[in-house]
Amino acid sequence: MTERSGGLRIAAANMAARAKGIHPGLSAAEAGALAPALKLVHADADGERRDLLALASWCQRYTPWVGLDETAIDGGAGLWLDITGCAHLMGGEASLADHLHQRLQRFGLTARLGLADTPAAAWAVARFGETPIGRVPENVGRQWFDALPTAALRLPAESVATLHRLGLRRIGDVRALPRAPLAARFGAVVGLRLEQLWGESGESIAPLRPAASHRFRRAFAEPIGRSEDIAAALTGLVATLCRRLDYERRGARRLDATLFRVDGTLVRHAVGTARPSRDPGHLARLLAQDLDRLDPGFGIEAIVLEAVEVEALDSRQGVLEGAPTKADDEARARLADRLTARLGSGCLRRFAPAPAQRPEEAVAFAPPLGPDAAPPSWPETAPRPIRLLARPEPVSVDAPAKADEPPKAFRWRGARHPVARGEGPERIADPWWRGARPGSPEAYRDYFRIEDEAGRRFWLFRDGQARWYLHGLFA
Amino acid sequence: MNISGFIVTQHKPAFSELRRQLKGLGGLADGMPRHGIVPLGLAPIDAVLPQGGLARGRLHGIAGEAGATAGFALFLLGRLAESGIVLWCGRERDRAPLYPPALAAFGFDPARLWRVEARDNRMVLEAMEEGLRSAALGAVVGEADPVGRVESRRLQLAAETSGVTALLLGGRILAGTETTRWRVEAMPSAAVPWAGLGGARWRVDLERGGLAGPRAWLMEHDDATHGFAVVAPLGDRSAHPRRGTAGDIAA
Repeated sequence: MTERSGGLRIAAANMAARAKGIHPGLSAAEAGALAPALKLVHADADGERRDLLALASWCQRYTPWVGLDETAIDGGAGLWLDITGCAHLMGGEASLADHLHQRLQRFGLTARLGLADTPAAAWAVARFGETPIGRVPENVGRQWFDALPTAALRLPAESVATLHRLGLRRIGDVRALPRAPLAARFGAVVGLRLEQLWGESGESIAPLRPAASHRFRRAFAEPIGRSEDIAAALTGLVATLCRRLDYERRGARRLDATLFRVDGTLVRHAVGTARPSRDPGHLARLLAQDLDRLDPGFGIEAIVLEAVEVEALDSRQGVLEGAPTKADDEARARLADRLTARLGSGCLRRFAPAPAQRPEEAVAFAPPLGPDAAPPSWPETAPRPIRLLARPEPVSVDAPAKADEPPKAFRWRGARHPVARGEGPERIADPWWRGARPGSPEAYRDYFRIEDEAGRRFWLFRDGQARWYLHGLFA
Repeated sequence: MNISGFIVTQHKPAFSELRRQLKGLGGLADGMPRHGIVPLGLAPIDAVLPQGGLARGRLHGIAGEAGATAGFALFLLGRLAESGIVLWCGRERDRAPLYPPALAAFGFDPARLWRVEARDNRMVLEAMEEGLRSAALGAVVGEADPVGRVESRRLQLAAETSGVTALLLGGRILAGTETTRWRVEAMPSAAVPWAGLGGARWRVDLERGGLAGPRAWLMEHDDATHGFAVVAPLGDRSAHPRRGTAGDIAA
């Protein structure tokens, strides 16, 4: 039930309730009087829409062209499936409809299907046909629809009520009338709906997502569950996809594999590539990498593979030109993809110099296969440690040293290091725009290169407040 | 075996040749390297390495402290992988990660470095193996500790298949399947006439995979020339106590 003007109203009712005469629009009080055992639940519009979207994406196993029926007038939600060119995959239109109906029933959904040449006719027979699977034969005349109620025209409830008051209960009654007075009374919509019913006016269904041409699907007679089988099926799909990409001279940047479990849930498996690729072996390996972590549930009954992102990719001529570096580049790109797929993005990177004074900020990260601009040059500096600590670690010094002198000994991570030699200081100051006043204690660090008596070398600094930190290890 | 047939049908000089070959194979328990031998360019060390150098496409282990092992790894990379990308695999949240600005002092271009930051020890080893399977790399370096026998064997096999050399850096290598194993320790450097530090010195021990002969050396790295030199062969570890004498503290 839902809140409307005049209190709580019934938004939707199941079959048993409808048998008692409860229909959408009835007030909650009236409904309770009709059926004392009635169970009322608040309508959850968001949740319903979410479920409908989930169902719509499940229906994409039949056709990529699935749209939401937003004109749900009587409360019953709907989905559009454009099965043009897809029905033969399921053994024809009738068997597709049977299959869909059975599956929906198994999900516990009361579904009514309409199958027709035009969306409007399918909508009408789905809701007002005599059987759960309504079917309009091909090329029927206009009079075929005459027996259907006027509500089957997908008109606003007020229009239907007005038609009823005028005694126009069937589509046939409306069809017989001249169009002009109808239009004057109800607007153009009645005429339009009639024409859409017969296919005289076109109607477009907005698909849930743009139908991709890089989308391939494979269904299995028996559900599969072993990751080897899934990998084999994916390899087959990848090969088909790559033939397509080859024809278009494009390469995939992102692949999305959707695995349809028997219980109606989906598993998504996405991989990306550093460079567009249409190498079946490489893409199949990428997809196969994390496969054993996917849970097939009770089995996978269909797989859809889609190249979500494609880019132009010219056919490779490097082989003929005898450029081994190009092959190397490609092999490296593949390695980068495999590592990224395995470790997660951002785990593989290259280094570039960054224009910063502080040593910990002097390194920038770059993706492994960024644009090959001129190799960045690293600034000439005093010797830098081979390892820089993630953050400077405070050390205690034995005796305060004179300015410009390293300490005599220091204690770091519990061990005492007597200092044998040292070099420095190298003053690294924050630039003025970092906020600290030039010359103020926070504004600089004095770095020393220090060797302890065992020969180990450290990078120590003293900040403006004479606190000592260890910042790096030399080789 | 056909060895006997070989001996019977060959003339005497073949014996010495065979002996020489067998001697050269010492330490290369897995047979002749398929991807070549690279001399380190330091005669005292090359003299005790089978075939006079380090095998490419094999796994080599370096034990010791973080700084020294990284430095020695860069020395080996300078010989084993003059060009090509080097995949350096370590753990994320490493407390002392490699610092690229220092690489130039070892003659290594930081642009050739691909850094992998893996979640844990196991992922470091997985990333190494993945890298070793691709022949597109110059070398693969991994910082993992500890490494079990199975893992190190897998790395060894992957390296042999692709011909990419693998270096494993870490304190404890439990494996025992590496082709060579080195231990590197910092040693006190020589006093210099100026106020400052001279070249860093290491004690380098070849713990595994060497021929008979002295297998510990005092090595020096020259910051300015990026060069490495053997200062002196060292004797048995017990004969040379690790601690050096305290030098003057330069102001």
